Amino acid sequence: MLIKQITVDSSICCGCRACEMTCSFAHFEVFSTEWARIRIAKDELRGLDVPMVCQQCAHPACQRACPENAIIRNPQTGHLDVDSDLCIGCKRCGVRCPHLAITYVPDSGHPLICNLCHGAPECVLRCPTGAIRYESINQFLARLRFLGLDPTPSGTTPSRTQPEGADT
Amino acid sequence: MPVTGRLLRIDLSHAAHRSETIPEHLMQTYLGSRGLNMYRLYHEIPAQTDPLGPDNKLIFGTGRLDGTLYPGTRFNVSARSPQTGLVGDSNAGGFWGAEMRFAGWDQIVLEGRSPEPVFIYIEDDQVQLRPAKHLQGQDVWNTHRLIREELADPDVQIACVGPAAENGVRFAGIFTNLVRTAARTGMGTVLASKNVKAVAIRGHQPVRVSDPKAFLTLIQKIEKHLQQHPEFASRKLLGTPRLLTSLNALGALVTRHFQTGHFPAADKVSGERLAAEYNIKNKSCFACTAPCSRWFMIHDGPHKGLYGEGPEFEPLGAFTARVDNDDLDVAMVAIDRCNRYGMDALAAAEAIAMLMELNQRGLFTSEDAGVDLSWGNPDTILTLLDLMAYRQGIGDLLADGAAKAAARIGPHAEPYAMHVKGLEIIQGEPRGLKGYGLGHCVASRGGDHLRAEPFFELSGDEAEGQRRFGTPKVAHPGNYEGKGKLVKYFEDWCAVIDSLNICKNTAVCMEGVPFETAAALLNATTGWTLTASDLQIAGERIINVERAFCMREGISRKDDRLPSRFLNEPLPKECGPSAGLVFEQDIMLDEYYQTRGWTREQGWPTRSLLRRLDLMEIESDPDFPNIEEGLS
Repeated sequence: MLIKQITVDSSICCGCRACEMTCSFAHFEVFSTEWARIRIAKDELRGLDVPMVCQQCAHPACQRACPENAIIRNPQTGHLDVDSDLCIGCKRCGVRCPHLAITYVPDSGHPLICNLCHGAPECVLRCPTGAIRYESINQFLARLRFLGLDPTPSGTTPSRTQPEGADT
Repeated sequence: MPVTGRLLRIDLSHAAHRSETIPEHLMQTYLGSRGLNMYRLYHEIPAQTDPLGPDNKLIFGTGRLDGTLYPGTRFNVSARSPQTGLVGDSNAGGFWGAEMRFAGWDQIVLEGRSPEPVFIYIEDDQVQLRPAKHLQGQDVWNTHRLIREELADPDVQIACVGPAAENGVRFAGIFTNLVRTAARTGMGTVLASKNVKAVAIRGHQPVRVSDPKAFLTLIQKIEKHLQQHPEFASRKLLGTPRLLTSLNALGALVTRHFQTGHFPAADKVSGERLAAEYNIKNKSCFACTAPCSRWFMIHDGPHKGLYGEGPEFEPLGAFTARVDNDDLDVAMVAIDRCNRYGMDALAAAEAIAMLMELNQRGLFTSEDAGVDLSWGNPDTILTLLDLMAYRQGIGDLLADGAAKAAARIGPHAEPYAMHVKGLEIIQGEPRGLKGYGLGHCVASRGGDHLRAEPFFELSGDEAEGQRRFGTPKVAHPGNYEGKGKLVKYFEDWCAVIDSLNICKNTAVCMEGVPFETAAALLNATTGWTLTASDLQIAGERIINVERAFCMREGISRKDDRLPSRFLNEPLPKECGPSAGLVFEQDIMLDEYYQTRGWTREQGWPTRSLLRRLDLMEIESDPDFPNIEEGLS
C-alpha cells in the first residue's frame, strides 16, 4: 500500500496554529500547544511559519535511539506508536529526531509522536491554506514540480544534520 | 463547580503583585474581557483621574474563548484614555490573548508607576519586573526581537510600546506580533506612562471547556457558515483592504480629508492591487481558519525590499485617499513607520490630512508648519510621522491628536478636526454610511466604528430590515430611518462579541455568531445555562456602564455630535449613490436614545433602566450626575 505522511509546504503556512489546537483537542480534549504533536515554529520578523511534525522516516532515528524499543511502527498506516508501558521517559528520541518533531507529555514525560490520527489527521482537515496535507511524498514532490516550486526551502520540514554516531 | 476568573494585580510602584478571584456572578453578568474591563474601569478609576498619572490603571482582559479552537481570538486593554479622557479601550488579534489564557489569567491590572523602566515577564504564575533601560527608544520590531533573545524563547508573546509612546504621543498603541495592535485611544501612551516597555507573557497550561463535544460541534458549524459565506473568498484573498474599492464605488471612501467620498486613484491603491503585486502569503490570528491578513513585500521602486504584515483597510485608506496620496508604496512605508514607532496610523493620518486641508484653505500654511503641506506630498507624509513620533517641531503639536492640535492652532481650525469626543473618525464617510455615522456619535470611546459596526445597513435586505428594525429603509446606508434601532442592536451585539473577545469580521460582519450562538459557545465553555436574551442584556449592561463612565466625566447629548461639516455640506456630485447626502443627526439621536431608554434631553439612562440592568450601585456613586427616575 501507499504510505502517506503529513507533508509540509511552509511557504503558504499562515501560522494560525489551528493545527496545534486541533491536535491537542482531538487526542486529549484540551487546548494546549504543550499537548500537541504538531507545532508551528515561527520567525516572526521574517514572516516565517514552519509546521513541525513527524515525517515518517524510513529508518526512524527516534526508534533507533530508544533503549527500551518502545517505539513501534504500525504496519497499516506506517505511523509510530509509543508503548507507554515500555517507555522510561529518557527523552533520547526527541533529541535525535532530525525534524525536531517530538514533544513530551507535560506530566508524564512520555513522547508525543504524530500517529496520523490512525489514518485521518485532524490537523490537516482544519488547515486553512493547505500548507499541511496527508499524502505520499511522491504526490507532494509532483505537485511542487507541477507548480514550478523549489522544494528545498519550504518542504517538507527543515531537517538538521544527523549528529555523528546517532545511529548507534 | 463555579466558574471563577483569575486576576493578576501588579503594583508597579512597589514592585508587588497578587492574584485575586473574579467571582462567578461577575463573570456571568459581564461575560469577560471588554465587559469585565468596563466594570473594573468604572469601579476602580475615579472621575477626573489623570490618564497619564500613577492612579490610572491599565487593564488587560481575555475572554472565555481565548486559547481555544475558536477561529480568531483577541485581547482587550482598557484605561482612562489620554486622548479622550473617557473610556479608553482597544483590542487586538494575534497571539498574545491566547498566551495570556495559557498562562492562566483572565485579567491583568497594572497599577501605579514603576520608578525604573521595566518590562513585565509573566510565565504562568511567575511574575518578574525586568530592567528595560536597554529597550528604551527601541522600535516595536526591535523590541520584539530583543525581548525574545533575552528570554531565549521564540514563542513568548509580547505586547509592547514603541518610541511614540515613550515620547508621550497621545495616540500610541500597544503592539503585539509586530502589527496586531490595540491602537486606538492611546493605551500605549498609558503603558509607557507607567514606565513599562512591554508585557511579555508565556503560558504552559491547557485550556479546558466544560462540554468538549458540544463545543466542537459549534466550532464546526461556525466554520462551515463562514466558508459558505459569499464574502469568504474575497476576505481571504484581499483581507479588509477589499473595502477600499467597494466604499469608493459607494461614494463613501473618506477622501481629501472628508471633502469628498470618491477617490479617483482607488484602483492604484486597492486591495486587489496588493493581492496581485505585493502579497506573498496569508497570515492569520490565533487558530483562525478564515485567515485575512497578508505578508507582503514591495518588489520594485525606491522602497523595494520593504516587507511585513498587512495592511488593514483603515490605515491603507487613511494614507491614500484621506491624504490624497496615490502612491501605494508611500502608503505602505507610512503604515510600516507607524507600526515601528508604535502609534495609531489612523490618528496620525488624520493629523496630517487636517493640516493639508487647513493649508488648502489658507488657515495654516506650509510656512507655518515648516513643511510643504500640498495634498499627497510623500515627503511631507513621512517627515510628519517622524516629527510626530519624536515630538519635534510641528510634530509636537500633532502628537496630541487632531482635536487638541486644532484647538491650539485656533478656533478657526477647530471645525476641521474630524473627531468625535477627541477620537479621530475612521475611513468611512458618515454622510454615506449613516448607521456608522450614528455609531461614531454615541460610541463610548469616540469617533470609531467598532463599538457598533452596523454592517446590516449595507445589506440591501429590505424585508429583513422591516422585520428586525421596523423599516425597509434601514437596509440602505444613505437612509437615516431605523438607524437608531439598528445601532442600539449592533452595539449590544458588539459588546458581547468583544467580551467573548472574538473577531468582529467573522462573528459580526459575516454573522458567524449571533446572540444564540454566543450563548451556546459560552455555555459549552463554562457549563452555564445563559440564554440569548441574557447575553443581549449583558451587552446592554456593558454599554450603560461605559455611558456611566463617560457621564461621570461630563458627557451628555451635547457631546454626541459629529463635526458640523457632515450636517451642513452635502457630499459632492462625483460621490455616485452618496451624492448630495448630509447627516441627519438629531433625528437619528432621538430614535437611538428612545430605543436605549435614555432621556431625550441628556442622552442619559434612567434609574429604572439601571435597576433593570442590575446597575443600582452606579446610582450611589457621589460623582454620578442626578438622573431621572423614568418609567419602570
